[in-house]
Amino acid sequence: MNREPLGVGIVGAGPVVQAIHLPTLARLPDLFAVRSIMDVSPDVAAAVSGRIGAGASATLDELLADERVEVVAICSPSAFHASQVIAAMRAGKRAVLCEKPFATDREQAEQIAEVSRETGVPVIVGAMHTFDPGWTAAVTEWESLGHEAHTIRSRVVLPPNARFETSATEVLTPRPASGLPDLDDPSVRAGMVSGGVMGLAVHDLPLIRRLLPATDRPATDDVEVVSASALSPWGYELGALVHGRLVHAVGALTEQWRPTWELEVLSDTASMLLEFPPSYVHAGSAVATITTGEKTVRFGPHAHNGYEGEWRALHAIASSGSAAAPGVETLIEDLVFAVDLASAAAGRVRQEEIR
Amino acid sequence: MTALNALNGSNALTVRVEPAAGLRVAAVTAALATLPLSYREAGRDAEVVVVSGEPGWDERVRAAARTGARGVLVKDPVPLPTAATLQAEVPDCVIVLAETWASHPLLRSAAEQFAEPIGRAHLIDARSVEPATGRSLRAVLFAQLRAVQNLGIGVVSLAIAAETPSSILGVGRSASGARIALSAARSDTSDGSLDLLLVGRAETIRLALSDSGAVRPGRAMLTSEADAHELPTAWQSPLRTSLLALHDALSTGTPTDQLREFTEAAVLLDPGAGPSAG
Repeated sequence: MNREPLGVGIVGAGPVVQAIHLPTLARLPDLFAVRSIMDVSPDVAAAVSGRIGAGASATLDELLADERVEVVAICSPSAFHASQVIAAMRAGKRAVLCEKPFATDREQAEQIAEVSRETGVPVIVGAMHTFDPGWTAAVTEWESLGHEAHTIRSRVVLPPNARFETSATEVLTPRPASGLPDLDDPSVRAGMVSGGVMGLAVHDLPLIRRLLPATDRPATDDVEVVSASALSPWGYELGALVHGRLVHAVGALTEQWRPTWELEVLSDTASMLLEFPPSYVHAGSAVATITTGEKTVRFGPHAHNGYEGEWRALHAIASSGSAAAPGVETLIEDLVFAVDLASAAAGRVRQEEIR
Repeated sequence: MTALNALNGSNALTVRVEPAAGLRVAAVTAALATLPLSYREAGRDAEVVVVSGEPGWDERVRAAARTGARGVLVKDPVPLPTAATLQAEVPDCVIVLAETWASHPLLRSAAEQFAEPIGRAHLIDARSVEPATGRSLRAVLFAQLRAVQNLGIGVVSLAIAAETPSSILGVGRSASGARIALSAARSDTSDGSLDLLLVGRAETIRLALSDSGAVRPGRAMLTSEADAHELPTAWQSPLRTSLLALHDALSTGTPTDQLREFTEAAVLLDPGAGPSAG
């Protein structure tokens, strides 16, 4: 490739940036060069950027004013995503990558879509599984064979993130220890389940929505949460009927060491199982198997995971224009699907009998 | 003399397989053929009778007892909320249930060896896939519930949260407060196995149980903070396990106590109830 690597500005310098995005970008030196990192803590921004020879910005305005910054990654807390994405678009950057979720509600998401149309700056959301090459290969095959999912089941059981972060980098800002939540408090249970959907299940919800029959999209007007529960010490159980199809998801953070991240898809005549590696380990793609009555076909593992996939996608749309970007309407519907599920699950879990 | 008797099978119990709709006689005969020192096929006066678990199985048990049977094996019994009183009606006859997953040899091993971590689980998630021509999905959920019980987990509530033509979800609680989720779906890709995941704060337990007719071993793995412990595989079908359990019960005079929990499961998962809150 003859082109110069694209200059990157990163907003937020927490463990996800340190353990995921910077090691990923280190594998893509022909495509990207990190120019500036901004964090609410100037010391953290300086320390993280100093590791890779980038500049540190004290404010978002300063980062956006840096002409060497051509694409922006928004990796701050979710509440700031929408305003920062819009600011980056209005600053005339070539493309924006925003960590999931890219907004907190439909209104914010539509504002982003409007500004994207107005400025011509494309945005992609860092829901890494949607860019996982194991998933993309398998779902292409699934759809080409015309299978129609009637049941989707997700299982995510993970050891503490710190176990993986420290294998991916030397983390500068370890996560604070948290105490055991009081699950007798309905608001704690509701917050846990809502947070579980928006923080963990959200990785797979775009996949689930895509697996619903195309004629039924958008799914958001026919979502009924039929079960929800908060799990000690942290986790969720969630059952929903989406256009009459069963979606069941469990997620839990534990102290045991074995990571499990599975998505099982069933139709009358076929099944698909996706097994994803944990987020932080840079262990390549998911392995997907599609089974029919005649045979089982495996997809993956590929050398790179969905994080590398999303950065590659960002480079592609920044290089070739917004026409190559995912449809903003899809991003909005994915977001609303997640928000609606989280809200309904939180409402149900408040009423839950836990004894 | 005793050893010689064992060698030539003269200590074997006589057994009769009662033909009935829904009973896979060939599967039972095949399992009996693997136990030539324990069982010997006989006619009407057999000591042990194998009956179908299709509706009316309680009456078949009573009939077998009336003919003098010392033991009855009920193959794939359907839910029967009145089963608990059956044993008292036939006090001289040992009743053993042969169930799809609940009789799996690995389940008993896991219940014994992983008892403490099982008791610490906060989530019990059971999943299976049933072929299009298989059992009703409620029957599948019942079989899952029985497997959970046989892990030593007391189930105090269970409700159908969702039911479609292709899938079913039941949720409930254990006596220790763990969330229980049971789900089944239809697909021709079914291999008949049950996937059980138990999640605790510091441990997970995962079991894969093959179906009742398969000798294919299951798998049981306990993972903790620092290591993992996998139970040895047993190349034995749940049906053969049940036949051995009946033989042991008759040989040692040890009573069985399956009917109480079976009845509790039948009451919890009322076959006639519709979807309810989860």
